[in-house]
Amino acid sequence: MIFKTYQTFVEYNQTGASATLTYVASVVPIFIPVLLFSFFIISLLSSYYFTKRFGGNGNFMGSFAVAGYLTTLVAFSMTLIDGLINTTTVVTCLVVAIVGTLMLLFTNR
Amino acid sequence: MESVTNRINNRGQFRSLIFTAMLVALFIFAMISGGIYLSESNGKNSPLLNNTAINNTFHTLEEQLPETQAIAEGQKNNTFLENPKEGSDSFLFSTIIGAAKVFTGIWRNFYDLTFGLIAETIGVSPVVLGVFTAMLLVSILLLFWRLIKVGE
Repeated sequence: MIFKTYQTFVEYNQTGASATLTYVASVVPIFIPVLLFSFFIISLLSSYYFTKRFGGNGNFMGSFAVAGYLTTLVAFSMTLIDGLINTTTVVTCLVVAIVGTLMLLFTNR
Repeated sequence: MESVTNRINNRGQFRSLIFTAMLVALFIFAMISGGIYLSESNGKNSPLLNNTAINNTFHTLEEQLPETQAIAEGQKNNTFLENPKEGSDSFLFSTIIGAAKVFTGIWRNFYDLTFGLIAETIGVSPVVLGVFTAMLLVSILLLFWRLIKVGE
C-alpha cells in the first residue's frame, strides 16, 4: 500500500499562530472550502431553526442570506493571512451571499 | 378588461421591483467594497480585484449607481418644467403641477435636512446616498403620476 508523504509541520518552517492554519491549508487545499461550507451550513440551520422555534415559522431565504453574509465575512477575514485562502474560494463565498440577497429580496416581496 | 385597482397594484409591483433591483445592486457594491477596504486597510492585496468578473462588476456598479440618481433627477425636472398647452384642461394640469412642485420641494428639503446632514456628518458614500435619492425621486414621480391618473 502506497501512502502519500505529507509535508510535516517542522518542514513547513513557519512561525506564529497563523502557521497552524496555513500549514493545514497548504497540505490539504480543500480544508478551507470545507471549513467555510460547514460554517455556512451550521449558520443556515441554526438561524432557520431558531426562527422556526421562536417565531412560529422559519424563513429559509432570510437564513440563507444571513449565513451567506457571515461566511463571506469569515472569508474576507481569512484574506488577511497570506496563503490561507485562495481567490476562487473568496469569490464563491461572495457569489453565495449575492444569490442569498437576490433570493431574499425578490421572493419576500 | 383590467380594472383601475389592478393597474394601481401592478404599478406598486413595478415600483417594488425597481427598489429591489437598486437595493440588490447596493448590497453587492457594499459587500465587494467592504472586502476590498478590509484588505487595503491592512496592507494586503485584495483577492477580489484579481478576479476579472468581480472587478468589472464593481467598477460597473460604481459608475452606474450615481447615474441612476442623475437620470431620476433629470426625469423629475423634465416633468415639472413641462409647460402645458392651452386648452380646456390646462388650468387643471397647471394646478396639479404647482401642487406637486410644492409637495416635492417639502420632501426634498426634509430629505436634505435629515439624510443629507447625517450622510455629511458620518461620511456616507455618495453611491449609497445616490441610490436612496433615486428611490425617493422614483417614488415621487410615481405618486405624481398616480395623482394625475387617479386623482387621489
